[in-house]
Amino acid sequence: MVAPKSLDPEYWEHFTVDQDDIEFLYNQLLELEIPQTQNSLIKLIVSNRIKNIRDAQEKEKEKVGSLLYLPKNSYEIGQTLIFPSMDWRNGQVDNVRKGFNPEFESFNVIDITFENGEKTSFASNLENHPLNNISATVATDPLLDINHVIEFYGDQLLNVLEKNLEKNTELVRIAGCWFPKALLVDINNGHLNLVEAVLEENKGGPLSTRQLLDQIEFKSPVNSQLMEFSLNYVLQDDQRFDEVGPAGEVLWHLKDMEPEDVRKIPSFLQYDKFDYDHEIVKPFLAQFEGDLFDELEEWEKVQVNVSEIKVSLIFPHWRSGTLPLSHSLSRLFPTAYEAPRVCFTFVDEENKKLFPGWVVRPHKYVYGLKEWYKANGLMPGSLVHLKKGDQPGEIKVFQEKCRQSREWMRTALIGSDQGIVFGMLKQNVFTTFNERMAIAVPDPDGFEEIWKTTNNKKEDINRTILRIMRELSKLNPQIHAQELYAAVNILKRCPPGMILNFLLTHKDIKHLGDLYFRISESSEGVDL
Amino acid sequence: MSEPTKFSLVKPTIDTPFHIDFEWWKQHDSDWRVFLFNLLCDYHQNVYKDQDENVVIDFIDPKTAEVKSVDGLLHTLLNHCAKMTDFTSHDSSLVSTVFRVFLSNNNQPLSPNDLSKIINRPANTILITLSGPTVYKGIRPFDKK
Repeated sequence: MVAPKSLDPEYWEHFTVDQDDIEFLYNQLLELEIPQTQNSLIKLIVSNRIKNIRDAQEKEKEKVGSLLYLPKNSYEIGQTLIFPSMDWRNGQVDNVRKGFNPEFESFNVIDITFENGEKTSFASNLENHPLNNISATVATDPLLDINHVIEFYGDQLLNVLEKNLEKNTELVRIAGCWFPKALLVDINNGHLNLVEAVLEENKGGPLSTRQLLDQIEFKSPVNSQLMEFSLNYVLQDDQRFDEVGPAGEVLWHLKDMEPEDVRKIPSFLQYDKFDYDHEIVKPFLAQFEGDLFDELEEWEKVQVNVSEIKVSLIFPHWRSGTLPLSHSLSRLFPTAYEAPRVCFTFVDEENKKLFPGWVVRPHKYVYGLKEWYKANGLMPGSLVHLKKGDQPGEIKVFQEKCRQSREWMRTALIGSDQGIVFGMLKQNVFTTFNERMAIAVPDPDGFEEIWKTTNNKKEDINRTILRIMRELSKLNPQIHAQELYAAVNILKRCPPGMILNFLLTHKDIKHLGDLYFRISESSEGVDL
Repeated sequence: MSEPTKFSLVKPTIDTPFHIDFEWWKQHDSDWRVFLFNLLCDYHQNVYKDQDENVVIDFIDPKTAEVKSVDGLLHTLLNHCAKMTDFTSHDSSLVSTVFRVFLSNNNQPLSPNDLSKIINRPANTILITLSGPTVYKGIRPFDKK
């Protein structure tokens, strides 16, 4: 069949990758000997498809030769012609006559009957008509322009390609690049043991693939990019190693030497998911006062400017030495295409000391601040300032110090019945804090023990919230949702939406306006 | 040949659309082609001067090269001469000016109100002229049927 004059947009809209495309990519990778990103591969495929279409059009034009209708040519009765302007349909010349139009010197009119019986007439022996230059018409088709195709269909084509490549067992991917498995450099167990030893010597890592290749003195005649890709591939399949580099960088770490709270979610951050009506709480969530970020809260308003963020700590993160990787914070910290754990560097803004940090993407938290919190006298409710470092992959951390002072603070204590009680006590304060969320916890080890008890774990979240609300009511019967959120999190991990849902839907809680609530007097003391 | 349209009994207003009813004009004015010829631009007057006034030409589509037989004078007037910038700016009578406006807009119906804005003459004057007992150059109310 003759290729159409203009490509149907459906050609790219319903694009699928076929075996010819895969073979073409395979050969290209073979020739280039360098692993390629998906973006490069899709450009190669699109450019090849366009070339094939153009070649087919040229061949068809050559094949049909004199049979292609061009206004400048002369035709005879009985000839069958192909009409580019009529979707390349075939038609037979029934009659030829002299044409008359004072605008043109001389031309003929040929009467045509198409295969479907439709009759129409066309000009012939007409030198001056744009259709005589058919190749120019085809050349201007935007659907045969690689830049146009990538701009308008690029994302969709990439999705289709990715799904196809993932199913292909002959091509392998690492750090966003693809290469034929069969052409990888052979790296044996001996090499891997050497890599393990090198990482062990370097406190587990992280080291780049290039550093590892240099240290194990691996030699091969192939180019360095292919060597790195090959080593990355075998390391990826070996359980001993973990790829921890941010997007665009491949860094390796020994899995066993990663901090325990990176390999496993810290107990304080574990949360039993509880369903509630998010639509009810959504408008109230926006009323929470700044600095509140919670990795469990899906409805957080994303901050546009994320070069610097101030986070108000809650007990679970304070105790775990972590930060919530909420929507806003995830835009500040390094991320990765595939690696679930990303190693980066914290820079203490005050003394310029560097220490490792980890972004744990699947569980949405950032680890590495336990010592820093302790050294700087932070407590639940303290404000942690974060901003992007001078180097890529560095995050500056600092706090606004205040002159050491003793202030009356809401303090969480353990009662004689091992339950939580709150009191206003004088506490040493070293940093600025969020007034609604600040709670001094003089005996964190005691709370850690309570946290671990089966009773605490098994208690229904609504019961825990109510119990803590009653305790807070003893200090002030009007309770702000944000205060309750900070207090509940001393015993149980709980997102703010869940707290709001409880406050807004419980029959014995009275909404006083804004985010203030109180327990109805009639129900006080009743076990709800 | 299509049947010429009859007069409508509904009295036209300044919002009633008018157009050139070529069929009516052909039936009622034997000199209509002479009039059309005079409206052609100089170049096309020269082209058509030796042709029969009812000349049919082979119009060639500029994109597909398809040929259609069309009324030469009318086609050329509507598609070329009436599109020239000075076509409607001739200093002439109200009727001639309105006629030229219709030719230049491919005979799309216009009300006296619309015409008033184009030719800068009172809508009522246009209405009185066009809805009087004499039909000038086939300009009649547009029948949507």
